[in-house]
Amino acid sequence: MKELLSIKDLVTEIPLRDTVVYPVDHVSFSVNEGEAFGIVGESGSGKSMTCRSILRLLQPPAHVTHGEIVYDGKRISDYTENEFAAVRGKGISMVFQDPMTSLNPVLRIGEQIFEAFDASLTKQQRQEQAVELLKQVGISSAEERLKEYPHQFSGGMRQRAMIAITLARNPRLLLADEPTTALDVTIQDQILTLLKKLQRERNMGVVFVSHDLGVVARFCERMAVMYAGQIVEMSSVEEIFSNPQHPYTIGLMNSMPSLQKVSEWLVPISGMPPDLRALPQGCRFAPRCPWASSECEKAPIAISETAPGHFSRCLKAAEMKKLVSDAKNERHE
Amino acid sequence: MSPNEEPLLRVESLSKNFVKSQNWMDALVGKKPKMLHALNQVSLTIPAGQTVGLVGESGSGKSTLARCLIRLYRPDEGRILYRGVDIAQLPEKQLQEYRCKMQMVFQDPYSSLNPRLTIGGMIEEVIQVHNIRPANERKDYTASLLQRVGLPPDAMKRKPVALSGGQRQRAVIARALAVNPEFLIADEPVSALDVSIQAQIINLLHELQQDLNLTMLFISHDLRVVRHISSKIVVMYLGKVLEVGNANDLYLEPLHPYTKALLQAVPTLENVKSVKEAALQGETPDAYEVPVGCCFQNRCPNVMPICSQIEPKMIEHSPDHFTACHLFSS
Repeated sequence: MKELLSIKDLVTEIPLRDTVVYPVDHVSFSVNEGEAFGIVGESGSGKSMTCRSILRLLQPPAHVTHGEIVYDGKRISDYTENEFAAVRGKGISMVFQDPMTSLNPVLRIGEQIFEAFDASLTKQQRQEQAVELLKQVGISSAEERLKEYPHQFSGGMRQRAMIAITLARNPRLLLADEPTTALDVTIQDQILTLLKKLQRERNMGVVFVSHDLGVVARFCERMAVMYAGQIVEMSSVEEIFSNPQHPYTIGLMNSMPSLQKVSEWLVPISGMPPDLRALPQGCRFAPRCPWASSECEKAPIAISETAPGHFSRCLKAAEMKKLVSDAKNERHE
Repeated sequence: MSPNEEPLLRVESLSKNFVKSQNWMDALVGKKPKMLHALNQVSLTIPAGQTVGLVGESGSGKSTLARCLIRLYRPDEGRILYRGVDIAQLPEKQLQEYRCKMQMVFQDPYSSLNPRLTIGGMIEEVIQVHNIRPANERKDYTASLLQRVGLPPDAMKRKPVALSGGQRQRAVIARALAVNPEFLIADEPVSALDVSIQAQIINLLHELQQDLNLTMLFISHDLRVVRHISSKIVVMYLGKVLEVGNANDLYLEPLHPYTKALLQAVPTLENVKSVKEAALQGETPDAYEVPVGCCFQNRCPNVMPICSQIEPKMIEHSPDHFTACHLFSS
């Protein structure tokens, strides 16, 4: 399988009045052609900022200060703004979370799709292709729908229209930033099925950002877990769920209620996500970690490969299985 | 609950319509304004000391029902029996007494707290208005409430901006508890929170419910969350109740096709890697024109000719498990 996107040591900083914070702190990962890569994390973990950094959609004063982004064998992080315009949309495209705020309310849906097409197309071709796109994303009576405004669309329909716009230039990589968070479960289910189908048909690479482990488990092949700007664990989806090697991942899985009620009480992660302005010196998760020792608090922890293709940023990754089963036994006693 | 025990709350054929605002042209020519049927003949009982989960997608009428129950809305038809007293049409003055017994926790802790008051200030306001404690005891009482919901003592002097989402939701819960309610409605209390914080708040609500013997109506669109906390589940769609049952029965053996689809649509860690067809096609129709017959007919995979003619009645399929679907009415 061919590598489509590779990111090495990406750093994004936001200068504040008296300090600097790093919402993306030395993030590295890669996505293959036709592969879905998930990024899971809570708000403020840097998952959306990572996507925006890749596509250069950061809002100043946030900016990328370090790192290499290679797309399709080309170092796009060195591109000038003009050169980059050719990558955006045609090479890499993005679906945003909230379909209400990412569509222009005063333009017809049709016009917003036409905008995305190559300028060389004739009006006739645009019309035909737009109708075809809307059909592909499952919008019926497409001709009439093109003449409507976003407010006439339901939430699910708007997200379908958004997807149609992002697909207008046949991108090879799609960044999907919480594309289903604002939607109802049955509609979320429809959109996920649709995205999966389109991804397969077009052999697209997808970076799928979500806070919902269940959604990522369903959609992705490989995934990364982010915490306070860093990737803390990365592996294939099956591996992470069957053999998690970072306490934060384990905490997330435990705190998620499931349809099969296992116990009366959930096991939440204690404390709160850290303030990026005052990060702990050592492991960023140490203050909330049930297994933290003094060693964890001394110096920053490097991410290391604990098994082939499985990376964890934890000193105790090797003994994690035992720690988890001990904790489980304790809870049951 | 034994059958002859009176439930805390009994709702009988409750309806609530909203009138769509008209443009002046239509008003001038005397067109009838459109009606949105937010609640359509809803009946349910909430047994004392239990948590009832209410699930449904947006537009199903969950929040409207909650707001009718605590009389933030006045229902158009039907009865709300609170310990046998009908409060559906009670005038505001007589409602005061019930306001202390029923409290609500709203979805968005960012917009349900007054940004200009301190947390202590807004809780004391409640205590003062309802005259819960004399003036000299208010501070101590507030402090005890904050401790009860797991907030640090110095939260009292802080304003909402200085608190995180989870802490704000704790403050909202403390405010609701200030009047010693019997009945707590939690309307999507964790939807705006992060996963790790969600679990903390769910545990807190569950603990409070048990310790204070509260009756709770827990509203959520997330079936996983509802499953965890409720003993009885109500499924709503388009302003109607489609299925009611004990949590175990309903999750293990859902009856109504809509409940089945909802459960199938939930992404869980257990059914990893199942690229299947979407559980349900189409979208919830708007509630301006409710179809004749079953309200779910246009999305139902098991639709039959009778569904578009006669509205299915709520029947008891197995003990304490009710559904309104022609598949089960013989």
